[in-house]
Amino acid sequence: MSDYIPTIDDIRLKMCYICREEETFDEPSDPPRAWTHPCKCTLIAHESCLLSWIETAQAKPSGRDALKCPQCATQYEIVHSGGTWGYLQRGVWRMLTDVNIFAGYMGKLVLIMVPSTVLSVVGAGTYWMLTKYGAYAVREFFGKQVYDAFLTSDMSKWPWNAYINLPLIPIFLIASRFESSFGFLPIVSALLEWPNLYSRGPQSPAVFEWNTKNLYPPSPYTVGFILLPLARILYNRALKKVTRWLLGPRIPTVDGQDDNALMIVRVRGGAGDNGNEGQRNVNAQQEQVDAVPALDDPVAERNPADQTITIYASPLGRKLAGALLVPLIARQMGNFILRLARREGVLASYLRQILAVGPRSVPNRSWWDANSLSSSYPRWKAGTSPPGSSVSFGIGSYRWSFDKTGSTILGSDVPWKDVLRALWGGSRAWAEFDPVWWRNTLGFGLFVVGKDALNLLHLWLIKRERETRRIKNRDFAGVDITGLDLIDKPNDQA
Amino acid sequence: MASISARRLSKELMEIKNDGCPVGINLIKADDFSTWWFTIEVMGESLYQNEQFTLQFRFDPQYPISSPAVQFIVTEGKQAPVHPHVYSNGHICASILGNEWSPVLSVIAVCVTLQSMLASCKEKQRPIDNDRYVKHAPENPKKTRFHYDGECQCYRIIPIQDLTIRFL
Repeated sequence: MSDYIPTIDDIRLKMCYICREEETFDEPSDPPRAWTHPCKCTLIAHESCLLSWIETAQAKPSGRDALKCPQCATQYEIVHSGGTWGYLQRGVWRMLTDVNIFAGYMGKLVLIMVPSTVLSVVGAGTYWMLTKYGAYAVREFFGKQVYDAFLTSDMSKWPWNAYINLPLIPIFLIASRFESSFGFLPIVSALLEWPNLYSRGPQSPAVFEWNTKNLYPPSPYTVGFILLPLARILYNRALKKVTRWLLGPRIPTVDGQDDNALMIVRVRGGAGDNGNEGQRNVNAQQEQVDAVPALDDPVAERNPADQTITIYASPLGRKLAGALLVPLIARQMGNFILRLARREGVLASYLRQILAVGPRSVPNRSWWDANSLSSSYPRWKAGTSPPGSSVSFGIGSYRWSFDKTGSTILGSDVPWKDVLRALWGGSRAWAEFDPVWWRNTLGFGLFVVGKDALNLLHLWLIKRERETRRIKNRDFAGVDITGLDLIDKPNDQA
Repeated sequence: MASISARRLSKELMEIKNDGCPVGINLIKADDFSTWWFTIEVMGESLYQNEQFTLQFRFDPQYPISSPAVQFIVTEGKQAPVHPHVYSNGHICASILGNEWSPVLSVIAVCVTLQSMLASCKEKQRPIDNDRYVKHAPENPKKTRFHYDGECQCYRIIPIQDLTIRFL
């Protein structure tokens, strides 16, 4: 039978070249495992073994080409199950991958640019840049109104502590990206809760005004120290849950390093079937090994043969860029939802309430106290009290004020209820600004949610792609079959 | 059920016991499926006449998907061969232990490859960058990213802990 071409099913004794398990044709393993002959030589393997080897080897940036047979160098072909829907999914997967790759390139750019810029202006220059960036961040995040009130474009008029607070802003922004315990917004708003609010402020030192009327929106202080950390914890918990639900328990999320998830998926895939603790430790180690080249080549590795793309976790540059772009993104998002809120309709009016905005400088905004507008706002603006007549210090809304005579004024006759409300609402001065920070915070929150959702989608698509992979099985055409241990064919014997 | 690595290693062990090791290679320790020791000698004409080295294999549960960590033992009076691709701490710069590893290879195949690497040596010398490498080398050679070019300037040490945990 010279034209007879045997297939994998005709082998009497199969041995997987990866796990070296054997199986005879009359005693299939239980449960049955798929065998594949993917190349043009006599090597055969379990499909699952081969897939996990391919996945692991591809996870290594400079690994050998796992899509080639180690013996005859035939390219393995990967096909996918899943039909049109699967095809669409992989389309989106590729698109997201490209976006990620692009982000990676940008990150690399920043990684090159930031240190070189910083290094070129070491010393005073660095400090100057940090301060300038801090001022920029304030302007972006808190809006021009706040900026103009506390800082101005004229740096000589800045209060002395601005020169301490402002340069710290970029440092904390960046730190918050690397160490999750640095919540960036709490710290930034702590810095922005100007201790000099009152010293520059117009209030006569004797009149200590608490914002007890306007409870909404919360002051930057409240947002930064209470609402945001709380929201952060809840959000991270929810995100973890959703991630687990979507991607299965085999995705260990590294604590507080969700950005690394891409890499984890890639590495874990090769972990094999059992996910015990020891295994996971090894995975973690492997992951570290694999993660390293990310700094050299943060982007991706593309194997043209099968379009398999490996994405490394957000590298340094991406994190730096991400951190420094926070104010800009926040402002853009804030403006975006403001535009949405300006529209007609019920939803928009709800949004207006949530954002606590109204048409600009129209005094009938829901959070705007008409009285305060007519009385204290102009007075504030006019600066009826001579600046510098009082010094105040404190944290948040607890402040002690000294006037020139040295007598301490603490709102001793202020009822506790009012103090608590003041804590929430912040100082009166805050209430008199258009709450840009509030919509920017919300906007940035939306941005984070959207980003994470996209990230999750990408991970899920990667997982789907992995799951639907199959190795194309070939017959033994062109192979010297005399070396094969074939099941005797009745025809052959005859 | 034993893990895949344990089952595959027990098969390899059985083959070694049944068929014996190739000439010049001897299994001296295989108490478990995590660390094996071999002695290795170069037979015939070579620069390593009458020298015997001890080779250590360490396997993780992903073997053979992940490569074994292979190095020469340099403790207990044992020496690593003086070779342009072998560092004095026993680490070996050989592509089949790194990015050229494939599950089709076996422990014995690695031994034989290293044996022939020694046999073909023309000049007994340490890698150029030996001192620098040994000073900073990680304990596990798998954590070194070697460059597999003929001339040994072959490695780059990656401070793995620092980079990944802090920055990534």
